[in-house]
Amino acid sequence: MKIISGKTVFASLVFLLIMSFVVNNFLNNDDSFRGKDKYKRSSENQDKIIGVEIRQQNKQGDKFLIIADTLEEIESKEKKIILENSLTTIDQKGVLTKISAGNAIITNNYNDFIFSNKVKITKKTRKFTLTTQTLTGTFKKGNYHTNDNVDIVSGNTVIEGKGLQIKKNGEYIKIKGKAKLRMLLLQKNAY
Amino acid sequence: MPTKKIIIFVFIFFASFSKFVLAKTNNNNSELTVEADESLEWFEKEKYYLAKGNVILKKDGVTLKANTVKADYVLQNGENILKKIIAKEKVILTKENTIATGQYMTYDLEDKIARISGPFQTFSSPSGYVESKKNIIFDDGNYKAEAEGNVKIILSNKTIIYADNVKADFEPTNKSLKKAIAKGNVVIENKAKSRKSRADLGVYNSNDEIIQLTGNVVIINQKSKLSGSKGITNLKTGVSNIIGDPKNKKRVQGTFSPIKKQKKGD
Repeated sequence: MKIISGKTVFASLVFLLIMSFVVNNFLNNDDSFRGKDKYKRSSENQDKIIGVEIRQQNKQGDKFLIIADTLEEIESKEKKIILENSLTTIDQKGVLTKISAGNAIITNNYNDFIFSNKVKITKKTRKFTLTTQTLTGTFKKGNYHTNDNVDIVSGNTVIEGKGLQIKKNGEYIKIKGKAKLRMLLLQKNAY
Repeated sequence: MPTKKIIIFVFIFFASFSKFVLAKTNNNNSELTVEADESLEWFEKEKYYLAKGNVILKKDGVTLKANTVKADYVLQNGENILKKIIAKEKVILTKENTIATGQYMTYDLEDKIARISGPFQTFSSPSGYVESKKNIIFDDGNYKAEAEGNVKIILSNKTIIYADNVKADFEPTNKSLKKAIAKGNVVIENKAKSRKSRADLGVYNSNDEIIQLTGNVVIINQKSKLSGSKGITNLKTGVSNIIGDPKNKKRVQGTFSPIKKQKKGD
């Protein structure tokens, strides 16, 4: 009986690895990523679609991925959808911004949004977390605002206030009215 | 002669401000808080915070109040490291019983230099009061302090010192006064005691504990007036000398007026 040589086993493994990569890539080559209003449906009941995944990309190359427990589509010119327990991931040249919310209303061809019910924005790479109750804005410009209480944690800095304006997905943040910033100074700043 | 008191005051003044603004905390970490009434802006790309409207900044017992406060920082391992604090309009800096006021204040946390500048700034503590019309600078990294522009110092005994510029150097180890220089239109005045000294330059050196007044030195004591090129006061002995300038043929001049003895009942 001929024993399979080590080289053959190694070559087979490499082949399998390449094939799995090719197949995986092929399967994930989803045209809906650039689509305007296509989404995956896990299951569907009378009014709501359960288990939703929506992928979008704007002209600037920013990618959006919206995952939600349920989706309800309202027939209108604005293509309004209502999401429950949504998680939106915005990919701006590798910088990921995640927005989670209990409820979300997305209108104007996936551009305008109103997040509500425990809204949380996170930027893991920058140790950034923002929590509030509601958040209204547009994906296209990355501008958001709220009139509710806001808590921001960014590294060693905490900001509290009421009423917020964000531009370019967080490049500029303004707390309107009374605000408080706390910064834990490290040894370098202990003067 | 009030010069000794000046030195003591200058020492207390600058040393206390050095502690006041720049004192290192006992803990390795400390917390900075900023409260604002109008708005708090964060420019993430430009890396600074901007607080507006009755801003109150607190850190280790130091309170800074101003209409606007800007804080520059750099990002290191996801943590914000403060670099510079800039306060504008109605700036009031307090710690315990000391207070500094002005219209514009910067503090560079890297170089450890605090600068209060503008048309008018003050610093007051139990040991006295200082005002200037240009700036007051505290360089903790190089152990230096400076007040510039029509400097006025009022001591607790009501002696007033005027100069265009006052500089002080400190010992790095214990921050005691090493050298102090008052430059330009130096006037030392005690109205209550009818004493007044004038010079172009006043220099104190802790090594020999001697104060030298140079350039058009005039010492007025009640109705007596002495003038010369140099005045030397030895703080150890308390003896003051006034010296002429033989090279330039300038002699010591003195005007003495008898003081009438007060009659009983006057």
